[in-house]
Amino acid sequence: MKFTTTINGLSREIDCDAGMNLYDLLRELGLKGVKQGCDNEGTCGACTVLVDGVPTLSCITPAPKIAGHEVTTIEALGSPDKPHLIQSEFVKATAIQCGFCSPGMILSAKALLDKNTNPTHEQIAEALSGNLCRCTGYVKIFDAVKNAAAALRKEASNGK
Amino acid sequence: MIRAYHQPQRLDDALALLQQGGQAIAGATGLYSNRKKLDAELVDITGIGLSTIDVTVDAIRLGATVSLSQLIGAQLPGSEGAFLAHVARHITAAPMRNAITLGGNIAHPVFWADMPVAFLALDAELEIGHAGAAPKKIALGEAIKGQVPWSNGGLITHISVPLKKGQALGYERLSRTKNDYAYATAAAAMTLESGKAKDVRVVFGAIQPRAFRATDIEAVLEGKALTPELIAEAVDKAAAHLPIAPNFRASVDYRRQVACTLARRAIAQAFASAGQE
Ligand SMILES: Cc1cc2nc3c(=O)[nH]c(=O)nc-3n(C[C@H](O)[C@H](O)[C@H](O)COP(=O)(O)OP(=O)(O)OC[C@H]3O[C@@H](n4cnc5c(N)ncnc54)[C@H](O)[C@@H]3O)c2cc1C
Ligand code: FES
Ligand code: FES
Repeated sequence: MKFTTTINGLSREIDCDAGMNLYDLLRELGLKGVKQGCDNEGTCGACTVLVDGVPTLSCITPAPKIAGHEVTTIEALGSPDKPHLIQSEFVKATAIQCGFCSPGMILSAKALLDKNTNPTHEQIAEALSGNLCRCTGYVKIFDAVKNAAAALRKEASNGK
Repeated sequence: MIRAYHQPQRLDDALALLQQGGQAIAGATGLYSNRKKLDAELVDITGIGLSTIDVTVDAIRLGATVSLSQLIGAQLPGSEGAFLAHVARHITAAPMRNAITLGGNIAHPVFWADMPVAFLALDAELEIGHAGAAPKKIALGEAIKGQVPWSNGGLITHISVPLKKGQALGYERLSRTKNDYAYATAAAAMTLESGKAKDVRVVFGAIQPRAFRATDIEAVLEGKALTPELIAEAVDKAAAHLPIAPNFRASVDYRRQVACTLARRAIAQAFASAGQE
Protein backbone atom coordinates (compact mmCIF):
# COMPACT_ATOMS: atom_id res chain seq x y z
CA MET A 1 0.00 0.00 0.00
CA LYS A 2 1.08 3.57 -0.65
CA PHE A 3 1.21 6.54 1.69
CA THR A 4 3.16 9.71 2.41
CA THR A 5 5.03 10.36 5.62
CA THR A 6 7.91 12.39 6.99
CA ILE A 7 10.96 10.55 8.30
CA ASN A 8 13.77 12.53 9.90
CA GLY A 9 12.55 15.73 8.31
CA LEU A 10 12.27 14.35 4.77
CA SER A 11 8.94 13.77 3.08
CA ARG A 12 8.77 10.19 1.74
CA GLU A 13 6.44 8.21 -0.49
CA ILE A 14 6.16 4.71 0.94
CA ASP A 15 5.00 1.61 -0.89
CA CYS A 16 4.90 -1.40 1.45
CA ASP A 17 2.95 -4.53 2.34
CA ALA A 18 -0.27 -3.82 4.24
CA GLY A 19 1.00 -5.97 7.11
CA MET A 20 4.43 -4.45 7.50
CA ASN A 21 5.43 -3.03 10.87
CA LEU A 22 7.25 0.26 11.27
CA TYR A 23 10.38 -1.52 12.52
CA ASP A 24 10.84 -3.52 9.29
CA LEU A 25 10.03 -0.48 7.18
CA LEU A 26 12.67 1.68 8.87
CA ARG A 27 15.33 -1.03 8.58
CA GLU A 28 14.47 -1.49 4.90
CA LEU A 29 14.99 2.23 4.46
CA GLY A 30 18.46 1.78 5.90
CA LEU A 31 17.67 3.25 9.32
CA LYS A 32 19.30 0.51 11.34
CA GLY A 33 19.38 2.40 14.61
CA VAL A 34 16.10 0.68 15.47
CA LYS A 35 17.00 -2.56 17.22
CA GLN A 36 15.06 -5.68 18.07
CA GLY A 37 15.64 -6.74 21.66
CA CYS A 38 12.57 -8.91 22.25
CA ASP A 39 10.22 -10.96 20.12
CA ASN A 40 8.82 -7.78 18.54
CA GLU A 41 6.20 -7.82 21.26
CA GLY A 42 6.65 -4.49 23.01
CA THR A 43 8.70 -5.57 26.00
CA CYS A 44 12.22 -4.16 25.46
CA GLY A 45 12.04 -0.67 23.93
CA ALA A 46 15.11 -1.16 21.68
CA CYS A 47 12.91 -0.37 18.68
CA THR A 48 11.66 2.98 20.07
CA VAL A 49 11.23 5.91 17.66
CA LEU A 50 9.38 9.19 18.05
CA VAL A 51 6.13 9.69 16.15
CA ASP A 52 5.16 13.37 16.34
CA GLY A 53 7.55 13.54 19.30
CA VAL A 54 5.87 10.69 21.20
CA PRO A 55 7.88 7.54 22.09
CA THR A 56 6.50 4.70 20.01
CA LEU A 57 7.52 1.04 19.79
CA SER A 58 8.12 0.52 16.08
CA CYS A 59 7.81 -3.28 16.33
CA ILE A 60 4.15 -3.21 17.31
CA THR A 61 3.26 -0.19 15.19
CA PRO A 62 1.71 -0.97 11.80
CA ALA A 63 3.74 0.91 9.18
CA PRO A 64 0.61 2.55 7.64
CA LYS A 65 -0.07 4.28 10.98
CA ILE A 66 2.70 6.80 10.21
CA ALA A 67 0.90 8.12 7.12
CA GLY A 68 0.73 11.89 7.50
CA HIS A 69 2.87 11.84 10.65
CA GLU A 70 6.46 12.69 11.46
CA VAL A 71 8.91 9.99 12.51
CA THR A 72 12.24 10.69 14.21
CA THR A 73 14.87 7.97 14.52
CA ILE A 74 18.25 8.12 16.23
CA GLU A 75 19.87 8.89 12.87
CA ALA A 76 18.30 12.36 12.94
CA LEU A 77 19.79 13.34 16.28
CA GLY A 78 23.48 13.53 15.60
CA SER A 79 26.46 11.87 13.98
CA PRO A 80 29.71 10.55 15.48
CA ASP A 81 31.36 13.84 14.44
CA LYS A 82 28.54 16.04 15.61
CA PRO A 83 26.60 14.23 18.35
CA HIS A 84 23.44 15.63 19.87
CA LEU A 85 23.87 17.00 23.38
CA ILE A 86 22.03 14.01 24.88
CA GLN A 87 24.28 11.62 22.97
CA SER A 88 27.39 13.44 24.24
CA GLU A 89 26.15 13.21 27.82
CA PHE A 90 25.53 9.46 27.42
CA VAL A 91 29.14 9.05 26.24
CA LYS A 92 30.55 11.28 29.01
CA ALA A 93 28.65 9.41 31.72
CA THR A 94 29.71 6.05 30.20
CA ALA A 95 26.03 5.23 29.95
CA ILE A 96 26.69 3.09 26.88
CA GLN A 97 28.21 -0.35 27.07
CA CYS A 98 27.12 -2.57 24.15
CA GLY A 99 24.92 0.25 22.83
CA PHE A 100 22.00 -1.95 21.85
CA CYS A 101 19.50 -0.12 24.05
CA SER A 102 21.02 3.32 23.45
CA PRO A 103 19.01 4.53 20.42
CA GLY A 104 15.72 3.80 22.20
CA MET A 105 16.99 5.10 25.53
CA ILE A 106 18.21 8.37 24.00
CA LEU A 107 14.99 8.94 22.03
CA SER A 108 12.87 8.35 25.15
CA ALA A 109 15.14 10.79 27.00
CA LYS A 110 14.77 13.31 24.18
CA ALA A 111 10.96 13.12 24.30
CA LEU A 112 11.14 13.84 28.04
CA LEU A 113 13.69 16.66 27.81
CA ASP A 114 11.84 18.33 24.91
CA LYS A 115 8.98 18.90 27.35
CA ASN A 116 10.80 19.19 30.64
CA THR A 117 14.43 20.21 31.16
CA ASN A 118 14.19 19.83 34.92
CA PRO A 119 12.83 16.31 35.43
CA THR A 120 12.73 14.60 38.81
CA HIS A 121 14.21 11.14 39.30
CA GLU A 122 10.68 9.71 39.16
CA GLN A 123 9.90 11.50 35.90
CA ILE A 124 13.06 10.08 34.34
CA ALA A 125 12.16 6.60 35.59
CA GLU A 126 8.70 6.98 34.10
CA ALA A 127 10.03 8.23 30.74
CA LEU A 128 12.54 5.37 30.49
CA SER A 129 10.16 2.73 31.88
CA GLY A 130 9.80 1.05 28.49
CA ASN A 131 13.52 0.81 27.75
CA LEU A 132 15.48 -2.13 29.10
CA CYS A 133 19.26 -2.09 29.38
CA ARG A 134 20.92 -5.44 30.00
CA CYS A 135 24.51 -4.35 30.49
CA THR A 136 25.20 -0.76 31.54
CA GLY A 137 22.60 -0.74 34.30
CA TYR A 138 20.49 2.27 34.96
CA VAL A 139 22.52 4.45 37.34
CA LYS A 140 24.78 5.86 34.63
CA ILE A 141 21.90 6.22 32.21
CA PHE A 142 19.97 8.26 34.78
CA ASP A 143 23.13 10.33 35.41
CA ALA A 144 23.42 10.99 31.66
CA VAL A 145 19.80 12.18 31.44
CA LYS A 146 20.24 14.42 34.51
CA ASN A 147 23.47 15.86 33.08
CA ALA A 148 21.81 16.43 29.70
CA ALA A 149 18.94 18.23 31.44
CA ALA A 150 21.43 20.45 33.30
CA ALA A 151 23.30 21.19 30.06
CA LEU A 152 20.04 22.09 28.32
CA ARG A 153 19.07 24.43 31.18
CA LYS A 154 22.49 26.04 30.97
CA GLU A 155 22.11 26.48 27.21
CA ALA A 156 18.72 28.09 27.72
CA SER A 157 20.01 30.47 30.41
CA ASN A 158 22.89 31.46 28.13
CA GLY A 159 20.20 32.40 25.61
CA LYS A 160 21.66 30.15 22.95
CA MET B 1 -1.42 -12.52 6.37
CA ILE B 2 -2.70 -8.97 6.69
CA ARG B 3 -4.50 -8.57 3.39
CA ALA B 4 -5.35 -4.89 3.66
CA TYR B 5 -4.97 -2.01 6.10
CA HIS B 6 -7.92 0.36 5.96
CA GLN B 7 -7.76 3.80 7.56
CA PRO B 8 -11.29 5.17 7.46
CA GLN B 9 -11.93 8.74 8.59
CA ARG B 10 -15.56 8.30 9.62
CA LEU B 11 -17.29 5.95 12.06
CA ASP B 12 -19.87 4.89 9.44
CA ASP B 13 -17.14 3.91 6.98
CA ALA B 14 -15.36 1.91 9.68
CA LEU B 15 -18.58 0.10 10.64
CA ALA B 16 -19.27 -0.74 6.98
CA LEU B 17 -15.76 -2.23 6.64
CA LEU B 18 -16.23 -4.24 9.85
CA GLN B 19 -19.60 -5.48 8.58
CA GLN B 20 -17.83 -6.77 5.47
CA GLY B 21 -15.56 -8.92 7.65
CA GLY B 22 -12.77 -6.48 8.54
CA GLN B 23 -11.12 -6.68 11.95
CA ALA B 24 -10.76 -3.58 14.10
CA ILE B 25 -7.28 -2.43 15.06
CA ALA B 26 -6.68 0.39 17.54
CA GLY B 27 -3.41 0.65 19.52
CA ALA B 28 -2.17 -2.50 17.74
CA THR B 29 -0.33 -3.67 20.87
CA GLY B 30 -2.41 -6.84 21.18
CA LEU B 31 -2.82 -7.62 17.50
CA TYR B 32 0.68 -6.82 16.32
CA SER B 33 2.59 -8.98 18.75
CA ASN B 34 0.84 -11.82 16.89
CA ARG B 35 0.79 -10.24 13.47
CA LYS B 36 2.42 -13.11 11.59
CA LYS B 37 -0.48 -15.39 12.56
CA LEU B 38 -3.19 -12.95 11.47
CA ASP B 39 -5.32 -13.56 8.42
CA ALA B 40 -7.41 -10.44 8.12
CA GLU B 41 -8.24 -7.12 6.56
CA LEU B 42 -7.58 -4.61 9.31
CA VAL B 43 -9.67 -1.52 9.94
CA ASP B 44 -7.74 1.10 11.90
CA ILE B 45 -10.26 2.91 14.08
CA THR B 46 -7.95 5.57 15.51
CA GLY B 47 -8.88 8.19 12.90
CA ILE B 48 -12.66 8.15 13.22
CA GLY B 49 -13.18 10.62 16.03
CA LEU B 50 -13.32 8.24 18.99
CA SER B 51 -10.48 9.79 21.00
CA THR B 52 -12.68 12.29 22.82
CA ILE B 53 -13.43 12.62 26.53
CA ASP B 54 -16.67 14.30 27.60
CA VAL B 55 -17.42 15.12 31.21
CA THR B 56 -20.94 15.95 32.42
CA VAL B 57 -22.23 16.33 35.97
CA ASP B 58 -23.11 12.69 36.19
CA ALA B 59 -20.78 10.82 33.87
CA ILE B 60 -17.42 10.60 32.13
CA ARG B 61 -17.84 9.44 28.53
CA LEU B 62 -14.64 8.09 27.03
CA GLY B 63 -14.12 7.41 23.34
CA ALA B 64 -12.92 3.86 22.62
CA THR B 65 -9.61 5.02 21.12
CA VAL B 66 -8.59 7.19 24.08
CA SER B 67 -5.13 5.90 25.00
CA LEU B 68 -4.02 5.08 28.54
CA SER B 69 -1.60 8.05 28.43
CA GLN B 70 -4.41 10.36 27.34
CA LEU B 71 -6.60 9.06 30.18
CA ILE B 72 -3.81 9.59 32.73
CA GLY B 73 -3.13 13.12 31.49
CA ALA B 74 -6.78 14.17 31.35
CA GLN B 75 -7.15 15.03 35.08
CA LEU B 76 -10.68 13.65 35.14
CA PRO B 77 -12.99 14.64 37.99
CA GLY B 78 -14.16 12.76 41.03
CA SER B 79 -12.82 9.73 42.82
CA GLU B 80 -13.69 7.89 39.58
CA GLY B 81 -11.32 10.03 37.49
CA ALA B 82 -8.45 9.59 39.96
CA PHE B 83 -9.14 5.85 40.15
CA LEU B 84 -9.06 5.40 36.35
CA ALA B 85 -5.74 7.27 36.12
CA HIS B 86 -4.32 5.22 39.00
CA VAL B 87 -5.21 1.92 37.35
CA ALA B 88 -3.98 3.02 33.91
CA ARG B 89 -0.66 4.26 35.33
CA HIS B 90 0.19 0.74 36.51
CA ILE B 91 -0.21 -0.91 33.12
CA THR B 92 3.10 -1.84 31.45
CA ALA B 93 5.45 1.00 30.47
CA ALA B 94 5.24 4.53 29.10
CA PRO B 95 5.50 3.88 25.33
CA MET B 96 2.96 1.06 25.55
CA ARG B 97 0.54 3.33 27.39
CA ASN B 98 0.86 5.81 24.52
CA ALA B 99 -0.58 3.14 22.23
CA ILE B 100 -2.99 0.96 24.26
CA THR B 101 -6.58 2.16 23.87
CA LEU B 102 -9.46 1.71 26.30
CA GLY B 103 -11.61 -0.11 23.73
CA GLY B 104 -8.73 -2.41 22.82
CA ASN B 105 -8.02 -3.14 26.49
CA ILE B 106 -11.65 -4.19 26.99
CA ALA B 107 -12.06 -6.09 23.72
CA HIS B 108 -8.77 -7.99 23.65
CA PRO B 109 -9.57 -11.18 25.57
CA VAL B 110 -6.49 -11.57 27.77
CA PHE B 111 -6.65 -12.47 31.45
CA TRP B 112 -4.24 -9.68 32.45
CA ALA B 113 -6.32 -6.72 31.20
CA ASP B 114 -6.55 -4.14 33.99
CA MET B 115 -9.03 -1.56 32.70
CA PRO B 116 -12.02 -3.95 32.55
CA VAL B 117 -11.51 -4.61 36.28
CA ALA B 118 -11.69 -0.88 36.96
CA PHE B 119 -14.61 -0.30 34.60
CA LEU B 120 -16.57 -3.17 36.13
CA ALA B 121 -16.05 -1.75 39.62
CA LEU B 122 -17.24 1.62 38.29
CA ASP B 123 -20.40 0.10 36.79
CA ALA B 124 -19.42 1.31 33.32
CA GLU B 125 -21.63 1.10 30.28
CA LEU B 126 -20.47 0.46 26.72
CA GLU B 127 -21.87 1.91 23.52
CA ILE B 128 -21.71 -0.54 20.65
CA GLY B 129 -21.95 0.50 17.01
CA HIS B 130 -23.10 -1.72 14.11
CA ALA B 131 -23.36 -0.73 10.45
CA GLY B 132 -26.84 0.53 9.60
CA ALA B 133 -28.14 0.29 13.19
CA ALA B 134 -28.62 2.75 16.03
CA PRO B 135 -25.87 2.55 18.70
CA LYS B 136 -26.72 0.19 21.56
CA LYS B 137 -25.88 0.65 25.22
CA ILE B 138 -24.98 -2.32 27.38
CA ALA B 139 -23.51 -2.65 30.86
CA LEU B 140 -19.91 -3.94 30.69
CA GLY B 141 -20.79 -6.75 33.10
CA GLU B 142 -23.48 -7.98 30.69
CA ALA B 143 -21.33 -7.47 27.61
CA ILE B 144 -18.56 -9.79 28.76
CA LYS B 145 -20.83 -12.68 29.68
CA GLY B 146 -20.84 -15.10 26.74
CA GLN B 147 -20.69 -13.85 23.16
CA VAL B 148 -19.48 -10.25 23.20
CA PRO B 149 -21.60 -7.68 21.34
CA TRP B 150 -18.63 -6.36 19.40
CA SER B 151 -18.20 -9.63 17.51
CA ASN B 152 -19.78 -9.88 14.03
CA GLY B 153 -19.01 -6.39 12.84
CA GLY B 154 -19.71 -4.59 16.12
CA LEU B 155 -17.47 -1.94 17.61
CA ILE B 156 -17.13 -0.48 21.09
CA THR B 157 -17.44 3.26 20.40
CA HIS B 158 -17.63 4.71 23.93
CA ILE B 159 -17.34 3.77 27.58
CA SER B 160 -19.42 5.74 30.09
CA VAL B 161 -18.55 5.87 33.75
CA PRO B 162 -21.23 7.17 36.10
CA LEU B 163 -20.03 9.74 38.64
CA LYS B 164 -21.50 8.78 42.00
CA LYS B 165 -21.35 11.22 44.86
CA GLY B 166 -19.07 9.98 47.61
CA GLN B 167 -18.05 6.83 45.76
CA ALA B 168 -14.93 5.32 47.30
CA LEU B 169 -12.68 2.98 45.42
CA GLY B 170 -9.76 0.62 45.93
CA TYR B 171 -7.50 -1.18 43.48
CA GLU B 172 -4.79 -3.71 44.17
CA ARG B 173 -2.51 -5.50 41.76
CA LEU B 174 0.42 -7.84 42.27
CA SER B 175 2.93 -8.60 39.57
CA ARG B 176 6.49 -9.86 39.55
CA THR B 177 7.82 -6.55 38.23
CA LYS B 178 5.91 -3.31 37.88
CA ASN B 179 5.56 -3.79 34.12
CA ASP B 180 4.58 -7.44 34.21
CA TYR B 181 1.17 -9.06 33.91
CA ALA B 182 -0.61 -9.39 37.22
CA TYR B 183 -0.87 -12.63 39.18
CA ALA B 184 -4.22 -11.29 40.28
CA THR B 185 -6.00 -7.96 40.63
CA ALA B 186 -8.88 -6.83 42.81
CA ALA B 187 -11.03 -3.71 42.87
CA ALA B 188 -13.69 -2.50 45.28
CA ALA B 189 -16.26 0.28 45.06
CA MET B 190 -18.80 1.53 47.60
CA THR B 191 -20.47 4.54 49.12
CA LEU B 192 -20.97 5.15 52.80
CA GLU B 193 -24.36 5.76 54.46
CA SER B 194 -24.41 6.36 58.23
CA GLY B 195 -21.12 4.51 58.52
CA LYS B 196 -22.38 1.52 56.51
CA ALA B 197 -21.11 0.32 53.15
CA LYS B 198 -23.65 0.69 50.33
CA ASP B 199 -23.64 -0.43 46.68
CA VAL B 200 -20.60 -2.59 47.31
CA ARG B 201 -18.92 -3.94 44.20
CA VAL B 202 -15.96 -6.31 44.39
CA VAL B 203 -14.19 -7.32 41.20
CA PHE B 204 -11.44 -9.82 40.46
CA GLY B 205 -9.13 -9.71 37.48
CA ALA B 206 -6.32 -11.83 36.04
CA ILE B 207 -7.68 -15.07 37.50
CA GLN B 208 -10.16 -15.83 34.71
CA PRO B 209 -10.12 -14.90 31.01
CA ARG B 210 -12.39 -11.98 31.86
CA ALA B 211 -12.85 -9.85 34.98
CA PHE B 212 -15.89 -10.69 37.11
CA ARG B 213 -17.81 -9.47 40.16
CA ALA B 214 -17.67 -11.49 43.36
CA THR B 215 -21.35 -11.15 44.25
CA ASP B 216 -21.02 -13.51 47.24
CA ILE B 217 -18.44 -11.22 48.87
CA GLU B 218 -20.52 -8.14 48.03
CA ALA B 219 -23.60 -9.69 49.68
CA VAL B 220 -21.80 -10.24 53.01
CA LEU B 221 -20.53 -6.64 53.10
CA GLU B 222 -23.59 -4.78 51.83
CA GLY B 223 -25.18 -2.53 54.44
CA LYS B 224 -22.59 -3.23 57.14
CA ALA B 225 -19.98 -1.15 58.94
CA LEU B 226 -16.86 -2.82 57.67
CA THR B 227 -14.21 -4.10 60.07
CA PRO B 228 -11.06 -6.00 59.16
CA GLU B 229 -12.69 -9.09 60.68
CA LEU B 230 -15.84 -8.81 58.57
CA ILE B 231 -13.84 -8.18 55.40
CA ALA B 232 -11.65 -11.21 56.13
CA GLU B 233 -14.73 -13.34 56.86
CA ALA B 234 -16.41 -12.34 53.58
CA VAL B 235 -13.32 -13.02 51.49
CA ASP B 236 -12.35 -16.22 53.31
CA LYS B 237 -15.85 -17.64 52.76
CA ALA B 238 -15.48 -17.09 49.01
CA ALA B 239 -11.85 -18.19 48.82
CA ALA B 240 -12.32 -21.96 48.43
CA HIS B 241 -14.57 -21.68 45.37
CA LEU B 242 -12.90 -18.65 43.80
CA PRO B 243 -12.33 -19.82 40.22
CA ILE B 244 -8.62 -19.51 39.41
CA ALA B 245 -7.68 -20.44 35.85
CA PRO B 246 -4.24 -22.04 35.90
CA ASN B 247 -1.40 -20.30 34.12
CA PHE B 248 2.37 -20.69 34.01
CA ARG B 249 3.10 -17.72 36.26
CA ALA B 250 2.37 -19.32 39.60
CA SER B 251 0.37 -22.13 41.17
CA VAL B 252 -3.37 -21.90 41.56
CA ASP B 253 -3.03 -22.03 45.36
CA TYR B 254 -0.59 -19.16 45.42
CA ARG B 255 -2.71 -17.02 43.09
CA ARG B 256 -5.79 -17.81 45.23
CA GLN B 257 -4.00 -16.46 48.30
CA VAL B 258 -2.79 -13.43 46.36
CA ALA B 259 -6.27 -12.71 44.95
CA CYS B 260 -7.88 -12.95 48.42
CA THR B 261 -5.26 -10.73 50.05
CA LEU B 262 -5.66 -8.14 47.29
CA ALA B 263 -9.45 -8.23 47.65
CA ARG B 264 -9.22 -7.67 51.43
CA ARG B 265 -6.87 -4.74 50.85
CA ALA B 266 -8.94 -3.18 48.05
CA ILE B 267 -12.12 -3.38 50.15
CA ALA B 268 -10.40 -1.95 53.24
CA GLN B 269 -8.84 0.81 51.15
CA ALA B 270 -12.21 1.79 49.66
CA PHE B 271 -13.94 1.72 53.07
CA ALA B 272 -11.18 3.79 54.69
CA SER B 273 -11.30 6.44 51.98
CA ALA B 274 -15.11 6.53 52.15
CA GLY B 275 -14.76 7.28 55.85
CA GLN B 276 -12.64 10.32 55.06
CA GLU B 277 -15.34 12.14 53.10
C1 LIG C 1 4.09 -6.84 26.60
C2 LIG C 1 2.70 -6.40 26.92
C3 LIG C 1 2.29 -6.32 28.25
C4 LIG C 1 1.00 -5.91 28.55
N1 LIG C 1 0.60 -5.87 29.87
C5 LIG C 1 -0.64 -5.46 30.17
C6 LIG C 1 -1.10 -5.43 31.52
O1 LIG C 1 -0.41 -5.79 32.44
N2 LIG C 1 -2.36 -4.98 31.75
C7 LIG C 1 -3.18 -4.58 30.74
O2 LIG C 1 -4.30 -4.19 31.00
N3 LIG C 1 -2.78 -4.61 29.46
C8 LIG C 1 -1.54 -5.04 29.15
N4 LIG C 1 -1.14 -5.06 27.86
C9 LIG C 1 -2.07 -4.59 26.83
C10 LIG C 1 -3.03 -5.67 26.37
O3 LIG C 1 -2.46 -6.94 26.40
C11 LIG C 1 -3.48 -5.38 24.93
O4 LIG C 1 -2.33 -5.39 24.09
C12 LIG C 1 -4.17 -4.05 24.78
O5 LIG C 1 -5.11 -3.86 25.76
C13 LIG C 1 -4.84 -3.96 23.42
O6 LIG C 1 -5.25 -2.64 23.20
P1 LIG C 1 -5.00 -1.98 21.78
O7 LIG C 1 -5.65 -0.68 21.75
O8 LIG C 1 -3.56 -2.02 21.44
O9 LIG C 1 -5.81 -2.98 20.83
P2 LIG C 1 -5.44 -3.73 19.46
O10 LIG C 1 -4.22 -4.54 19.60
O11 LIG C 1 -5.48 -2.74 18.36
O12 LIG C 1 -6.69 -4.67 19.35
C14 LIG C 1 -6.85 -5.77 20.24
C15 LIG C 1 -8.17 -6.50 19.95
O13 LIG C 1 -9.26 -5.68 20.33
C16 LIG C 1 -10.12 -5.44 19.21
N5 LIG C 1 -10.58 -4.06 19.35
C17 LIG C 1 -9.78 -2.95 19.50
N6 LIG C 1 -10.55 -1.86 19.70
C18 LIG C 1 -11.85 -2.28 19.64
C19 LIG C 1 -13.11 -1.61 19.79
N7 LIG C 1 -13.19 -0.29 20.01
N8 LIG C 1 -14.22 -2.35 19.69
C20 LIG C 1 -14.15 -3.69 19.48
N9 LIG C 1 -13.00 -4.39 19.34
C21 LIG C 1 -11.86 -3.67 19.43
C22 LIG C 1 -9.30 -5.74 18.00
O14 LIG C 1 -10.09 -6.15 16.91
C23 LIG C 1 -8.38 -6.84 18.49
O15 LIG C 1 -9.04 -8.08 18.43
C24 LIG C 1 0.12 -5.52 27.53
C25 LIG C 1 0.53 -5.61 26.19
C26 LIG C 1 1.79 -6.06 25.87
C27 LIG C 1 2.20 -6.17 24.44
S1 FES D 1 11.63 -5.01 19.66
FE1 FES D 1 11.29 -5.17 21.77
S2 FES D 1 9.82 -3.61 22.13
FE2 FES D 1 10.05 -3.57 20.00
S1 FES E 1 24.18 -0.76 26.85
FE1 FES E 1 23.91 -2.86 26.39
S2 FES E 1 21.77 -3.09 26.64
FE2 FES E 1 22.11 -1.11 27.35
